[in-house]
Amino acid sequence: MNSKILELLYRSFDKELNPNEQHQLEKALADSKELREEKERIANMRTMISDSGEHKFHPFFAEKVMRRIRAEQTQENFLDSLVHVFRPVAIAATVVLIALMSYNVLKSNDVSVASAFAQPEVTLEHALDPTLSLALE
Amino acid sequence: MTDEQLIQASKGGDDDSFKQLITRYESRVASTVIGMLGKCPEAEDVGQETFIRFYNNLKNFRGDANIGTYLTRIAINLSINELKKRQRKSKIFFRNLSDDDFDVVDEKGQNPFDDQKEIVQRAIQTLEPKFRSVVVLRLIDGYSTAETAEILKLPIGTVLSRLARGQKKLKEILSPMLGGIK
Repeated sequence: MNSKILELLYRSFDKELNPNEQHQLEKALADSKELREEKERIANMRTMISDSGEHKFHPFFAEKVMRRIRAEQTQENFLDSLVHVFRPVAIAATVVLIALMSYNVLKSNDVSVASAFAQPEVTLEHALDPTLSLALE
Repeated sequence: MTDEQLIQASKGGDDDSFKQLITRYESRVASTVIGMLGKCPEAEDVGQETFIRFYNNLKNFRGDANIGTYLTRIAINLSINELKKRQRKSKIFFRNLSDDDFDVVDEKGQNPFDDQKEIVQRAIQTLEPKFRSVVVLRLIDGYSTAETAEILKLPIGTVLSRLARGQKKLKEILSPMLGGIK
């Protein structure tokens, strides 16, 4: 079977062919019994496919969807209320932390992360101080 | 109540209106999702997820698209995602369905499936997702070629060629049921 004609045959089910193509297809259909049978088979198959559609989910589908929507909303509300409760606490904690760090920096007269956190400065010499090792022994 | 009124009421927090919309469009979404995934528990999950996505996007829904088309677009995208997930799993654990799974006549000369509908549904499941989606939208859901192209965001020519290839493959599988010369 001519593949171009077969292509036209399939296309004719889904799109209007231009007059030239339409004429070509009609002539081929008139000349070939095989093509006419093919057209019938395609039409039968398309009917079978469209009849195979399943149009229902299980019973109470809408109720199940609404239940899921409500559950998601409840979860969102819970998270929102958590944010609502903890936001002032987080702001207060941040203010206290900044105040403490500023106090540490002012007290030590040294602008560094270590002084902000009031950590004693440890140099390499200090760390490797032999007297310290002896003291430990 | 019209769709527009139900949408407005749903936006205002009226859950009963949204439930009415679900009931109204359940069959449309079911035919798309079951056509794409077959009859399975995941199909119902995807159907539910379709309406949940719609609900969460109600504020952005301006009504310039038909609700049915809008829902079908969500349903088809979620179904394709589900198929990708399934493909990843099947690569690890299972073999894919092949044409051999659709021998219409068994050794005893009997049809292993009671139902022609089931055979067709199983045959559709053998198609690659890109062919399956056009077959489902055009032939099962009954969208026009132009609407199918719009939903899938594809040129009409691509939809037509995918439709032809999909049907050729289906015809090979279903030929014993179509009668006449193969």
